[in-house]
Amino acid sequence: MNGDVLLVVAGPDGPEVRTGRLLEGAEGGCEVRLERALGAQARSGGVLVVDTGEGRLAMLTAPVPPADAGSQDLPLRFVQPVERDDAWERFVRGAGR
Amino acid sequence: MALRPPPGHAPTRFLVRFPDEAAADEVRSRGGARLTLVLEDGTEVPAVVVGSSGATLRAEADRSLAGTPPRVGAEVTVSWAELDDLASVGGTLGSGGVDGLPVECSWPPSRVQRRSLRRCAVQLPAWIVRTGQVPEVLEVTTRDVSGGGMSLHGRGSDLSPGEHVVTMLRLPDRDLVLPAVVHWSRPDGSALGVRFERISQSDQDHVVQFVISTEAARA
Repeated sequence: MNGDVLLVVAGPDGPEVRTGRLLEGAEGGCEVRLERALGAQARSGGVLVVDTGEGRLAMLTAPVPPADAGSQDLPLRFVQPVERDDAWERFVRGAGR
Repeated sequence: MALRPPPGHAPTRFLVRFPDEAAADEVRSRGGARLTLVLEDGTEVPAVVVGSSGATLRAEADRSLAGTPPRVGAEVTVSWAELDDLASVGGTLGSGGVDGLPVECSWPPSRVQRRSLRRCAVQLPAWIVRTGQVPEVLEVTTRDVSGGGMSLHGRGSDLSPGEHVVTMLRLPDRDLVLPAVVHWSRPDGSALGVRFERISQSDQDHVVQFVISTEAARA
């Protein structure tokens, strides 16, 4: 897996877009290291796009707790994959190893 | 005078003319490839759009009109199904040309909601996140919103019908992140419609409640 990630959440002035790396993942969530932390103002869930090396996988994520938003290492809880397809199944199987 | 097909041509082809190219584009992009012509006697003639040129759509009826030839000057209705509406305009049949029977249409269309979820016209900030090979965030504004989807306008993009995206909708009290599929888009990318897909019941309830309260505030 390549592991590059893109995270988009709604901030007070529009979308906040961050790049980073996937540190670890599971079916229910993952931890990413962002190049720049989110602000504590981020007020919504978001979209996480993971480059799996074979393609891109997108997941909806739950809102980031304010306590975590200032950290570059960020735990994210998945709400659902945007598409529950083979790429998602491979990600879940890979995360479970 | 009853219209007769031009020699060598089937009587089932129509040239549906709108006042300008933008109107024809809107019909084609929002209504897809099917039109229905309702003749004076109430006969419904389904037709497939087979091409376009400027402000004219070329449509071919699914069946022959040989048994009920319409007359020049007859008032007809041209309708098409949109994402959540049935849209229609009035039209007048002209005399047949070599390419088919011209129908001069009025504009703008009237629309009747055919959805179970009500829609309201409202401008809200929203964003479209493309999650494909080159992720991209597009800034847009809503034109109308319902629990089933929304229409949006913004700067040009090459989003195509069928593309899966994630939309972020800024309601007054919260932001919603909603997976969606592009249902229609204008050729110039200036407007598009999305249908929510696998939206959670709580998110849909929230959008519906927003629509109801917005309409109530305007009443």
